[in-house]
Amino acid sequence: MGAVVLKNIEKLYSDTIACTDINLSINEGEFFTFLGPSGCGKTTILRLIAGFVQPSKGTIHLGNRDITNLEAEKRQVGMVFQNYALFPFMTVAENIAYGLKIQKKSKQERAERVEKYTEMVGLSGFEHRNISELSGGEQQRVALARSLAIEPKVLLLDEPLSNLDARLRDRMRSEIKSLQKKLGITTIFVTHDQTEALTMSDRVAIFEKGRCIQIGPPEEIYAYPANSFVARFVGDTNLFAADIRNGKASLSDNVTINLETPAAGRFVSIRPQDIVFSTAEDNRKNVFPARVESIQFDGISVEYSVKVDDMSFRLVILNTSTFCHEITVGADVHIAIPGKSLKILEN
Amino acid sequence: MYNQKKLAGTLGVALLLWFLIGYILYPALKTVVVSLTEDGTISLVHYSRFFASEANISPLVNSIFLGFLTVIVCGIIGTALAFFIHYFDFPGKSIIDKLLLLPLMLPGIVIVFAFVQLYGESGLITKSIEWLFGLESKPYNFSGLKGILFVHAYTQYVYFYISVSIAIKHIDYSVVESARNLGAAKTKIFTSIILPFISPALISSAIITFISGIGSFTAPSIIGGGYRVLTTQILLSKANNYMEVAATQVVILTGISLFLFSIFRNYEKRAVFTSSVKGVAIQAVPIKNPLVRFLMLSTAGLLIVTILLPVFAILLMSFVKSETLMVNIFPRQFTCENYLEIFTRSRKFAPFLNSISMALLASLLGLAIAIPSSYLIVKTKLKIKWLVEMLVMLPWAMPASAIAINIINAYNSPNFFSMNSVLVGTFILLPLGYFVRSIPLMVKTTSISFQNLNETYIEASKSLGASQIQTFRQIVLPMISPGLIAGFLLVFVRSIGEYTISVFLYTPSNKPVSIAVVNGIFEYNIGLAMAYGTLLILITTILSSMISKFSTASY
Repeated sequence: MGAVVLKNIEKLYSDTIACTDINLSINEGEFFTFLGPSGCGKTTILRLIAGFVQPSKGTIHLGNRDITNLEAEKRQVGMVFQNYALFPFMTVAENIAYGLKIQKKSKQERAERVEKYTEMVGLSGFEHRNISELSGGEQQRVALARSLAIEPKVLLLDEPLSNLDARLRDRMRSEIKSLQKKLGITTIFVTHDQTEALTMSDRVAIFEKGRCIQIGPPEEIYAYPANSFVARFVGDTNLFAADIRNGKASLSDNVTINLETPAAGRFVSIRPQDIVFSTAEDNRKNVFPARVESIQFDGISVEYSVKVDDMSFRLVILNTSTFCHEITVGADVHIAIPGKSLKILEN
Repeated sequence: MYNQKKLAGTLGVALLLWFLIGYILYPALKTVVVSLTEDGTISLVHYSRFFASEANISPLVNSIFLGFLTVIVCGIIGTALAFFIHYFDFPGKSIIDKLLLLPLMLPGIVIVFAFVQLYGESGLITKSIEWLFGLESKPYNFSGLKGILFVHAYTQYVYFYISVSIAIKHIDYSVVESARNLGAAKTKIFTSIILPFISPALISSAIITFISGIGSFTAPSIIGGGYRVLTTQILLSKANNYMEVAATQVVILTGISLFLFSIFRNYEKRAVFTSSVKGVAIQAVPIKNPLVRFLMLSTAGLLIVTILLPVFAILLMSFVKSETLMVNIFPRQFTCENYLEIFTRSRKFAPFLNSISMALLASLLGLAIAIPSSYLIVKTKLKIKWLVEMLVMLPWAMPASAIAINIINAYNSPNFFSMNSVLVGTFILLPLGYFVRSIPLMVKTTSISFQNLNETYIEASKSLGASQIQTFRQIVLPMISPGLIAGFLLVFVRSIGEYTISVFLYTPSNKPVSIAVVNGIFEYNIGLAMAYGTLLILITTILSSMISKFSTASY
């Protein structure tokens, strides 16, 4: 049995469904991410686990214990809030010691733990600072230390990186991940940022409109999206409605792609990095004449938007040292779409 | 369990509404009824009499005229000061910024007598001018409209000063820079950028100042002389026991205030400038030109002297033997007798004790009502909250004299809200009046506490294992208490030296210190009156500095 198990969870707010039919089993020590656009129900589920809201239906287990009706304060679940929710009238040390004081830990033990966790999050020497004297990143670390200090069974992180600037976000991402690995603590991370989800998680659950659509390791979700929503939301893609029969996918009258293995479905997803430029003489299959509409250079790669008749495709080419920038806007080119790069989706 | 909670909540709301209606709305309505009653039947005769007699019309016109002049004088002074302080950089400006708020906190009656001691017929300044220039007769006449306006200028510019200062601080300087970038000249920038930014502040301060100007009682009653205004006429009617006439005058005065106040509330809700992105604050301009610098510093110095002079006058006179004032032009002999008298003779100390206990009672009552009211307004989605908000804000539009008359009309007979007892003539009437007068400000202060109390703090505390009681004691209470303490002290400061409501409602058994000051003056016991005044100033300034500390401590 998993560390956190949700069975048939449903939460209704008057007449709107916040989430429904949620079945999840999160393993001991796992870094598990809820990914989805805002309003998909991911935060509601996190708050259900924390105990701030009660499910309308279903059960929640923590280890072997049914905690569905247990008060939030008795769950031993640590939570880091989006706005950190640090108590503004307490110092860093007082914030971190708050939960320990509640647990009636001795003064000495509190001091030891405060020291341990401030050091762990890299804030040694900040113990007596006021919260208002801290930067966003430092506040984030205090929030993390505060929830870790009570040594919870599960750590919940509610979009903790969304208030940080891009560079700091990258750094905190790897710091949180390595901290989690070191402590081996079961962690549930809520985000709408696919990069965060893909880089940090052991497994990801994708939510849309209150339902869990797909659960799996990041590589699997990226490679085998369950539907067109997942394909678009996780990673960039070219998505088309297609007529698929006899081992061929027809995107339009002139674009028909031979598939590697026959499949059935109504949509195809092609990752932009799978499409490559080709020459007309190339006798490979699936080569189409195209015209370059726009070029966007971002350092690591170059993104081309090309049109085959009326169909737009996006290609991403890695900017390696051998890359040549010959292709310009308006140029007539050929693109090759390997048959095995097509993901056939039912809906 | 859940239903019990709900029932308790409903009962609590009902109790709150019972109190608010009973002590704010019902008294006001009772006054309307009294004004419409003649010999037990409904009639408009009091209104027709009011508008038929020149003796009634002229105080009304005088009141409105006084209101307008107050707005103009205070508008000019307050706005000029706000620009002076926030637009230029010069030494001592932060001290002046704090000092400029002082007149708001000093008891009105003390300020009026300080002005009399300085600028009155035998005032220190008046006599100094006579002596310096060898004048035979007094150089100016302090009493009447001029005197009232002078006092208003000193006490009421603060609304303009505060709100224009806030507006200036909120001007996004990048907007000014972009106007310059688009080619606007300096005058154009002022008329097209600065003025629109501060005009909401100007308009709302003008309305508030007008309301307080027409409702002003202390200055007209002490130094008004022949300049009769509606508020002093109300006291006269009440003293002659023409309660229907007093009620009619109150309804007319309150009507004007209420009309303007509703405009103000509407305007306040609409006219809020918020910049979408974080702007750049205005940079104070440092003065380099030595001449201009000298002028600025002299102005600043003069300001400090003008603001502090009344306080020094009171302090000085409190050490004077009252008898010697009859003989000498300037005070010569100084003594601590006046203070000794207050602290050793229980009859002299009683007014002081009365005021402290009544102000305390008003503050406690304020807390008891303001906490649930602001919680209801800020933290719940109850449909009834508009009513609560309206009831607690209503006294803002009521002149103090109207509040007093309303209370008399409502509680000179037993009723449902007073649990069937007559309150007129009892001790409780004054604290009740103080409470009604201050409840809008108090609710505003306590509301800020609840606005700052974000729900996630409570959730964070719970997730760290704290029970509901632990969360309340260790998180909620520390977060809301600065605002609550500030509100409590605010009511106390506004009540301890209150004069208008006191003069209408006091009885010999609960004579407050403000009345003792006036009695002292009229018995030529000026030293004693000023010693009372000094003690009041001491208490109010100490508590005011505590208030500003607590309100800046809000998170």
